[in-house]
Amino acid sequence: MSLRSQWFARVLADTERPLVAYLLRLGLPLDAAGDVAQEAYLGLWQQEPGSVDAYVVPWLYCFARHRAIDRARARRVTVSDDSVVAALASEDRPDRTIEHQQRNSALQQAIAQLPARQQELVGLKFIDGLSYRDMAQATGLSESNVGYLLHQSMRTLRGFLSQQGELP
Amino acid sequence: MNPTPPIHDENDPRLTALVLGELTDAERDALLAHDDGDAARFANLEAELRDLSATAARVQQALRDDASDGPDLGDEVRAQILQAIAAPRRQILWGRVQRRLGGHTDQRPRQLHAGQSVFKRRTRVVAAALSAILLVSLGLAGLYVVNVRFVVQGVQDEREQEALVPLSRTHRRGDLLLRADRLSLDVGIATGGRFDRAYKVIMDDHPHLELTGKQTLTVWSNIAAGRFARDARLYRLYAAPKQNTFLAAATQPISTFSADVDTASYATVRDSLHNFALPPPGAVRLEELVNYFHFGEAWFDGEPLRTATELTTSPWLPHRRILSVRVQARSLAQQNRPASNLVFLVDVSGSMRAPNRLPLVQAALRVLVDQLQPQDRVAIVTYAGEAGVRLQPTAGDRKQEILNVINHLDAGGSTHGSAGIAQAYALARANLLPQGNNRVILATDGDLNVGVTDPEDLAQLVEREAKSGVFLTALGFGITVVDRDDERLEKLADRGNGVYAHIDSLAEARRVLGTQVQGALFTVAKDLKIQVEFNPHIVASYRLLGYDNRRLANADFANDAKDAGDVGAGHTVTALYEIEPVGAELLPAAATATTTLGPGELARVRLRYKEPQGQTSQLVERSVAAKATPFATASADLRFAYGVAAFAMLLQRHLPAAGMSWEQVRPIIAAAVGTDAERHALLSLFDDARQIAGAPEVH
Repeated sequence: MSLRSQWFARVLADTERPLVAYLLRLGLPLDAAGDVAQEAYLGLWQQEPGSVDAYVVPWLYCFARHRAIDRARARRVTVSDDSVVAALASEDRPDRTIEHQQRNSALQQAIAQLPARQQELVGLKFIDGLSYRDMAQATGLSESNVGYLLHQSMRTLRGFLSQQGELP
Repeated sequence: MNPTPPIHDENDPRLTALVLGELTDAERDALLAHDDGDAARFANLEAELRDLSATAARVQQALRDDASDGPDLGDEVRAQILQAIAAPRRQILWGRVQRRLGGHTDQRPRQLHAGQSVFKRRTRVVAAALSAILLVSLGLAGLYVVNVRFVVQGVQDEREQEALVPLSRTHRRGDLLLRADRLSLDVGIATGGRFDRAYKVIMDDHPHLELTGKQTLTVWSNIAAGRFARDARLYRLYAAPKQNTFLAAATQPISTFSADVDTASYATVRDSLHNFALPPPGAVRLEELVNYFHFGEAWFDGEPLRTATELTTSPWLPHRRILSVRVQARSLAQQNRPASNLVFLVDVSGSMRAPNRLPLVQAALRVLVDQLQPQDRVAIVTYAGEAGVRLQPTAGDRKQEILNVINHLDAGGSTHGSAGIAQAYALARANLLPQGNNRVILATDGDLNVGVTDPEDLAQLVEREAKSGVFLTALGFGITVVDRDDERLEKLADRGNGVYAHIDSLAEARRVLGTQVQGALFTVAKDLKIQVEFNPHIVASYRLLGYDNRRLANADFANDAKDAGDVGAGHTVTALYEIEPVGAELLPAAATATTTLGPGELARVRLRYKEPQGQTSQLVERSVAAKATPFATASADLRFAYGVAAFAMLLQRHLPAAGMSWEQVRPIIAAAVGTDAERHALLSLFDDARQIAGAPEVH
């Protein structure tokens, strides 16, 4: 096994679950998420060695995100890039996105009420742990825009928590 | 009603960025900068940040489950992908991947090591000089991101160096540790707080690194979002230690301070320098560096304390005088020492899993067990989630039984320090030896926060128990200066009439617990206060070096209700004063000042201390004559002590005083090391520091 194959196998092992989870959060059904992920990995392998090494995860997320939008368009859902989450979700998965079906905490519901773009960023930050830079790379937003939107989300959620009396 | 306007704009995205660790140090500093007059408004900002980080922690918590146990691609799809890529392509030398472990995520790029052939060979050559630094940035609550950096020293080959240097691309706080002449291999790994797992991952990936217990493994902790409020306060405390100014003897002839036998700052400094970083100035406590070394007589018994003074000239300023006041506590022969009633209180929380924590605690405790006599009693209590008694009080000759328990300590769970401490003190009190040495020995990485509602409650508990006869020894493992855990432990040990030591290696464990076990365990004198009165007819001005947080009001000297430092068997306390004599003064001579000191008497040194069980202090006085020995003929002890003090001042980044530069301090130390191994180690530490500070080489 070549070093690059070893590297690739490791990328695959390390990222497949989070990538699938991200695609599910974007609203894709499980089988479609698997297909998109597969495309993304093959796309990664086509890249010039060394060209994306420094940002593999944002690259994969960015690639997969575009493919997800393409799919939504192919299904004749009118989507703008901005509302990809909501649009995909509106398809036939009312229980989409971040929350889990049976055990939505109040906070999880509050997160689900955020604008789609903010929801996606909250997921990339708190689930995938991406840095602002990586989030910008994955979503095509500027870093400062990422920071702004995330701050807005945090302020909303903070307001929610203090309303609930959950902040000291 | 006029509410204080906030100092910040609440829509400023930097607030969230700061909480999420996205700001550089400079950006953070700019955001937090404020005038003293803005304290109230700064408090608003702090509250805002506290709320935001609490929110971040809650969101993290709410979403955490989503990160784990999601579906994967399935074997079939994965096989397809791997098959598709099986066609050979040209090799790449370096790759970066993201790694995900234990359901938690990694956001740091990680460099895979592919150019092994080159690196492997070099690494073998320099294996002995290899050190590893784990740069830990504590992310959001429950999400720990660990940057691991291996630093290979001593690679001389320029070409290979160039080939390897681009590896170091982590733009994090840890970069400060990196110097251009070092090679590094950065690995970022998320381990969900599992340091041992990070360690294992590194070892699996880089078996050729042969990292064994011989190398230094240090864990640095970065800002934690969930603990931001504390850090923000610390940030304000982080000011460099102030350089003590000269005081006029005419108006302030008396200087009073408490003894300090702690030496933890030395280990902290060493730790930092071994990782190629100058320590934060605030972490350098001059007196602790000086008192780390052994001065005076090798051994003596009899009276509890011996005092020695020595007066010499400054090596740099001929008119300036240096006064050394040394107080040494008597040694105790093994067979003469009183019985001990020891309770080991061991932190076994998850964070203790790192190789330089619990495993080192166990090694340290084994050293201590070696010293035990049949009349001694030992118990072991752990705290992690729940406090538990692992070993009921057991006689010191049943070593195997004790060792079994020590060997089976295992880290896991969260930290609730106070419950464990209460239990440990209860055991110690139940077995109290009225004439003996009753002590709780706390071994921790410093994180006593979770579950302790108020650090002051903890301190009061420790203080109360000390009054009832059970003292506290605090041993810090993997302590981080960034978190200032060392200060908290030092203060806690102070309140418990005990000592604090930072154990960063087995050698240090042997030093503190083996050869110095007596000092750490047997208090010879309690509440030792030192006072020096200067003769204003001879001394124009003076300053005490170090003891910044040990100064006492003159009136407290004779006040027995006022606590001070305790000294144990074999301990030495050295204080150094710099003196400007009248005539060569910075300040005009005060011929009119009155003094009780005799003509020709430069100063009078007074000590007050109590017997370990005593309540009233005894006074010892000693006169210092004005005649100074030239520095060249002063004792090696004094010359070395002064060299160490100058080293500490350089590390504190004080503007070099006249003549005091790295180049000029080195020969002072070098000439006084003699054959003492610890002094030689200090000299090489000095050379490391000088190199890191960028000072030119001296030949």
